[in-house]
Amino acid sequence: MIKIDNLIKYYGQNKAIDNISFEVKTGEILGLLGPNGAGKTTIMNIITGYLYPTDGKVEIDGNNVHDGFFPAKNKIGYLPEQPPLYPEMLVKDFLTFVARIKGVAPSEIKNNVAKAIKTTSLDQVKHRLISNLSKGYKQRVGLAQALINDPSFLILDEPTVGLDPQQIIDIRSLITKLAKDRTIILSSHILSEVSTLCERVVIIDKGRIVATDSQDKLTRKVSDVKQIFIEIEANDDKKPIDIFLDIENINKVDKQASKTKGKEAYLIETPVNEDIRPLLYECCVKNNWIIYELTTLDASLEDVYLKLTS
Amino acid sequence: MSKIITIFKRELASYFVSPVAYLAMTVFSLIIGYFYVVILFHAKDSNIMQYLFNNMAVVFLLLCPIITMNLINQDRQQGTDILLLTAPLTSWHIVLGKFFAAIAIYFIMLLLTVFYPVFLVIWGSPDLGPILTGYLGVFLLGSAFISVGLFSSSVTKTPVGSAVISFGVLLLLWIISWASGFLTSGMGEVFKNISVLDHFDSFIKGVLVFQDIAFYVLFIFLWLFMTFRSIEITR
Repeated sequence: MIKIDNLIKYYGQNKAIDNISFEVKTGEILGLLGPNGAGKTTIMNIITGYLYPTDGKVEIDGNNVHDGFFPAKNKIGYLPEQPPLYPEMLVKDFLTFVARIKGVAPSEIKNNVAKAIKTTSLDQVKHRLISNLSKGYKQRVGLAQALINDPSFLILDEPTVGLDPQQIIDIRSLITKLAKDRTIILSSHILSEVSTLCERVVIIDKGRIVATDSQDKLTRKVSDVKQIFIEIEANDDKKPIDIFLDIENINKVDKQASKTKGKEAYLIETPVNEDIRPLLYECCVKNNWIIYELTTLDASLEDVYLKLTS
Repeated sequence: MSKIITIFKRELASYFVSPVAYLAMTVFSLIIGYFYVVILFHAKDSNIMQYLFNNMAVVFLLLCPIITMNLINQDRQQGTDILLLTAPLTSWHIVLGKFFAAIAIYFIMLLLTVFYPVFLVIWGSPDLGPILTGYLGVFLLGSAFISVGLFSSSVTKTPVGSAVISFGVLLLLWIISWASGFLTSGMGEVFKNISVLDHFDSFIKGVLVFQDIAFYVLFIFLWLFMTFRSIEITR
C-alpha cells in the first residue's frame, strides 16, 4: 500500500503541493488528474524519492521512501514524462545498467532484463542504440527500465504523451496487462485514458486535492441532473416539447439539431435519481412517434474535471 | 561499492562514445610530447621531468573543464538524474562514480606520458624519487581540478557554463598566491595556503610533505561534498 500523508512541497516561496494525503491500496490503479502545473509530477517525484517533501511523508508498505535505507525504493518502478534514457547506450546494455543500480541480484540480472524486454516487446530493437529509436520505442524502453526490478508499485507520469494513436493503444494495453499484479499510479491529461484504466481518481488543482473517488461517484457528486437524448419521427402537427413537459419529473426539454432529415431530436433533463425512459417510451407509442434513439447522457469525467478545476 | 562501480563503468564508457576523451588524450599527449622534446634539447640540468610536471599541470588546467563539463548537468538535461535518484542509490554513489570515471580518464592521460621518464632511465640516470613523487603530485593536483570541475557541472545547466566556471575557479586557485606579495603577512599566508600551485612544489622537488598531501585530500573532499550538497539541495 502507498500512503501519502500531509505532503507539502515548496519551491522557494512557491507552495507547489499543499497538504496532500491519500492512499493507494495494493492492486489498485489510481489516476492523478489535473491541469498543467497542478502538482501531479511533483507528487510523483516525491512518491518515487526523487524529491524530498518540505513536510509530510510517503510510505510504501510501511517504509518511508525518504529514509535512506531503500526498502521502499526497491519496490517502485517509475516512468517519468520524459523517459530517463542514455541515448548513447544500447537498449540491452541500458537495461542491464538499470538492473545493477536498482540492486537486482547479479544472478537475476539476465533474467530480469530478458523479462522486461519480452513484456515491453523490445526484442527487435534490443541491440540498437537508444538514440536511434522512435518515440514509441523509447517510451517502451522507459517502461522496461521501470519494470526491471519487478516492482510491486508502478508510477507512470503521462505514459502516452506524444505517441501516435497505435502506440497509445499498445502502451495502454500493456499498462492494463501490468496492472494485473501491480499497484499503479498514473497521471494523464487524457481523461478517456484515466476513465478507461483507473479504478479511482484523484483530481488535483493548484497543489491541492479537489476530489478523490471512483469515477461513478465523482460524476454523481458534481451533477444533480441527468440528461436524456431522444430522436423521434413524428408525422403529425403535435408539439413534442409540450407533450414531453407534461410527463412527471421532466424539468426541461431542448430541441436539438437532428442528424437525419425528417427526424426530431430533443435533450431532456430530469432529476439524477429518476429514470423516465419507460414513460418517454409510452408517450411516444401513444402518439405514434417512431423512436430512433433513446440514450442517457451521464456526466463524464471531463465534466467533473472541468467543474472541479475551473 | 558495487553501485559506485556501476556508475563509474557507465560514465567511463560514455567518455569513449563521444570524441571528448579521445580529443583530450590526443591534445594532452601532443602538447606534453612537444614540451618533452623542447625541454630535452634546451634543459641545462637533469630536472627535465620537473619542468614537464609543471607543464602537465598547466595543460590539464586547460583540459579539465572539458573532461568534467558534462558529468552532472547532462543527466539533468536528459532527465536521467531521475533514474539515478529514484534508484536505491545515494547522491554519494553518483558523485563518487562520476568522479572516479573522470579520474580514470586523467590516469590514462598520465599513463600515456610514462614512456618519457622510461626513455630517461634507458639513456640516462635520472633520480627516480622526484619522478615518482612528481607523478603522485600531478595526479593529486589533477584530481583536485576534477573535483572542482565536477562541482561546477553540478551547479550549471549547460556544458559551456560548467567549463567556464571550472576554468575560472581553477585559474583563480592557481594564481591566488601571486597576490600574497602585496598583502599583509597574515592574509598573504592564507592566499598561499589555498593556492593549488604552492602545494604542488614539494612533490616535483621529490619531497613528500604530509601537509601538502593532506591539503589535496581535504581539497578534493571539500569540493566533492559541495557537489553532493548541490545535488541534494535541488531535491
